[in-house]
Amino acid sequence: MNAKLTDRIATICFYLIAFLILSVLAILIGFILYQGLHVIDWTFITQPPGSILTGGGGVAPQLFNSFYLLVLTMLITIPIGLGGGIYMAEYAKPGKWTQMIRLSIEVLSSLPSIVVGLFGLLLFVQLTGWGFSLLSGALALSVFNLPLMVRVVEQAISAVPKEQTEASLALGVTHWQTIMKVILPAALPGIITGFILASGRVFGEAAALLFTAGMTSPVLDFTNWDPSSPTSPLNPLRPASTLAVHIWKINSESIVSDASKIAAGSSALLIIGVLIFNLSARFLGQWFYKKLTSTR
Amino acid sequence: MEQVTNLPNKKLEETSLAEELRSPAKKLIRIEQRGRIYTLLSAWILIITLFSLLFFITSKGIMPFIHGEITLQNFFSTHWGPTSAEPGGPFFGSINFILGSLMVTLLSALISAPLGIGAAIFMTEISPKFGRKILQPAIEILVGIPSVVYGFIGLTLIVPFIRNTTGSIGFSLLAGVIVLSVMILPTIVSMSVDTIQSIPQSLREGSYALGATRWQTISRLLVRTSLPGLMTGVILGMARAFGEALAVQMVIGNSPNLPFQLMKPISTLTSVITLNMGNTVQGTPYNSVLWSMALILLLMTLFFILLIRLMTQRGKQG
Amino acid sequence: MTSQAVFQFQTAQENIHPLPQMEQVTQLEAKQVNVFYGSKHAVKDIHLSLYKNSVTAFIGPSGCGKSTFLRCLNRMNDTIPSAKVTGEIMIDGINMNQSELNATQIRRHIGMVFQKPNPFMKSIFENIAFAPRLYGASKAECKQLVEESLQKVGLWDEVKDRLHHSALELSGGQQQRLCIARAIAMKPSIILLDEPTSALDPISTSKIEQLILELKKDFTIAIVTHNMQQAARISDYTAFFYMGDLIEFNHTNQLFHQPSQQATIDYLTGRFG
Ligand SMILES: Nc1ncnc2c1ncn2[C@@H]1O[C@H](COP(=O)(O)OP(=O)(O)OP(=O)(O)O)[C@@H](O)[C@H]1O
Ligand SMILES: [Mg+2]
Repeated sequence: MNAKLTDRIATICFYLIAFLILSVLAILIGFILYQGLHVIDWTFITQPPGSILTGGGGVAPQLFNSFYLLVLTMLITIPIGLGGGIYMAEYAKPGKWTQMIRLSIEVLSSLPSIVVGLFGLLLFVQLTGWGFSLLSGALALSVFNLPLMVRVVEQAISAVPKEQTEASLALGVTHWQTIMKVILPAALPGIITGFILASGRVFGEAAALLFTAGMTSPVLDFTNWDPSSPTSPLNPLRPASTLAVHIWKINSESIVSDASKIAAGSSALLIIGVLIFNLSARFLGQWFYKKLTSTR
Repeated sequence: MEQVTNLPNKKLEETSLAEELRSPAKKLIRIEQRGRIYTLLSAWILIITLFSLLFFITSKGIMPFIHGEITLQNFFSTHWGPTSAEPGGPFFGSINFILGSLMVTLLSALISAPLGIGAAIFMTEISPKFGRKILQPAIEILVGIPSVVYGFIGLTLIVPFIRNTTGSIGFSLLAGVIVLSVMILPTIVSMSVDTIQSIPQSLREGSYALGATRWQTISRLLVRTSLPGLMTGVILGMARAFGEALAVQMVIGNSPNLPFQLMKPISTLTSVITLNMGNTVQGTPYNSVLWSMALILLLMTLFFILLIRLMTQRGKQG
Repeated sequence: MTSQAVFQFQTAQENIHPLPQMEQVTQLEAKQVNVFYGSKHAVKDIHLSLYKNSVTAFIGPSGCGKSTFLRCLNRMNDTIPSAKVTGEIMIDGINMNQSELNATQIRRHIGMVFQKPNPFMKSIFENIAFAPRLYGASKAECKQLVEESLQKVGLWDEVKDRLHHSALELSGGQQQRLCIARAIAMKPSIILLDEPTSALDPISTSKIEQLILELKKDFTIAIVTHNMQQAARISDYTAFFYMGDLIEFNHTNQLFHQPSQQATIDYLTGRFG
């Protein structure tokens, strides 16, 4: 009797916990959207921030920077992440050297992002003389994104049935061609899902960027697409504040009169971005998988 | 190379195969080698990145002590006054921040561990269907929320709430703990789910067959068997909490107090670094001490990883 | 087994060879082939020939090394890090079991079909065209190869309208025939089949047996099977393996009706395995 009662109470507690977590999430998302959605309009996403005195304006440069930085980071990490993942899944033999790589992956992926940012400050900002720049920011983001990508690729490849590899090798296809033409395509759904989720993380990252990409954005001329020009949005050597950094900056300085409004709008944009990444990761992964295994 | 061709009845038509084998396909071999080198280089990049990071942060972090800008005694004290003109100053005592970081980490783990493990049990034992369909995606979304957004919510929701209910200024250790416990929850949940799921079904059936209730099975069998894995999840969460910068910095008030009162504003290592790195001049002791704090962050990360390795080894043995 | 049995196996060696001489042409000859997995001696000192345009069946109880030996014949054991293969495997006057020879080139000439149908996660067309294209077949050649190979395995009429559908949509038996088509599209001289029908229903099995008899005209075939009737039905030669040894190798008729070894008799009469 007593044991049964305890069991009942425990079950209720577990339901409460689940309910609590769901409500926390609902409050978080609801609060952000409630605060932020009405701030977001066409001006907000297409205009640069207003002056410190007047406030107003939007976050267009920040929004652009967030995406541009994401693209740069992915350009750096995708090839290396693929290479590293393939190495770990296909070539690495058990032993000291492989353990060493595993340890590196583990340490790199658990480093605090502020420490990664400081490393970027030392190496990419100061030592190379690039200053606060998109490139420095992208490289710093790559440092903590890379181990994630390697893991994603390795896991996706390991999930491909061994029979696929065997079938290809038995046809006299070389190991490398087997990897490129048989294993990678079969692992693609997993890889895509993982990459998009990683993109979401990169998109929202701020701490690693404060001292690498900087906290300011120069006046940008969105008609100037010459990457070497200082006012060009594409110039990888210009400083750039992203949406996430912008939120932190206006909150911690609080000089702008409508700081909380802008922060709320930017947070809502960030959250929407992350949700889109999250949903598209699920959707695209499944879609690719279907495409691979069944009728077109 | 032996050429044995004197078998009876062997009419060997000389095909191209033997010839072909004797002259290997150079192009194939070259592509093969190139691929191998490319992947090997990628793996090297990971190692090189890690070691250069360790090297740069470490050398920068111990520099002030080697150059005698700051004494260890000064660093490991509770007196923070980096611009103080008092005699004996400036003071770079960082103990308060180290304790601050430890305190928010421990307290948030205390809140998050039972919740996270509870949620994991809910998802695996109580209602797997609801867990997989609703709780799992919810947790995944929680992971994805950027830390500045957590900070912003803390700033606009939690801090005013604390201010209004207690009459303090709101920016406080408590606010930091609340924000962090939500942030590290997903880490603990997903690790715990993995561990509990890996327990063979037969063990559970054995327990139920003996007449144990679900709670008895969970508390006596599942939690105990999966303890190393659960602890690993908690430690991973703590590592995340210890290194979290912006969300914490935005809500804890950033006063150099000792972190022993929930309602008082405090500082952590990350918050001090975040706030001051941009405002101090390279090469000054004030700037250098921030790098030493970064080194401590790094060392703590390594320590957490060591703990996790020990845990997983215990898990394998036990 | 007992030491007596082992003794018998050893005395058997001279009885195995030479085979009654007919006008066969040796396609491949394995000499003193040994395979070790680490310290496990899985295949012991095997001497065996495959004859051109004939079917050779490998039979024997589970774990006796049939698959392992079969995989030596196209160097597939290279893909298992712990496996070490010694001895000579002569084909066209060259010992292909030399590490300096490129295994992928050998595998082009010696195809293999596995126990579990393993089509690529690609379209039916791609499954066949994939490897030839890598070796330089043009678009038109690929198309022709696909049709030709599918015709040969009797799959063409069943799939010609859905060549670009995923191969995973096919039934198990169709998948296995597709795998055979994929192997013959490389125009190998030898095809190795490792229990190709053990995962299939009786109808698919008989289709594949028919197919093997058909393919014999163009290829040399070695097949591992647990099904004694199958071996009797389709093979010209049968090799009986036991615990890593080749106990008896003879014309299938001979081996099934007048086995010379006690172990073979025991096995055929179902006393073990
Ligand atoms: N990759 C491997 N590593 C170690 N040992 C192996 C490996 N593959 C096979 N063996 C061992 O080698 C022996 C021969 O195995 P093999 O697969 O060749 O048997 P088989 O005759 O094909 O059996 P079956 O009829 O069950 O397929 C077995 O004892 C097996 O355990
Ligand atoms: Mg076998």
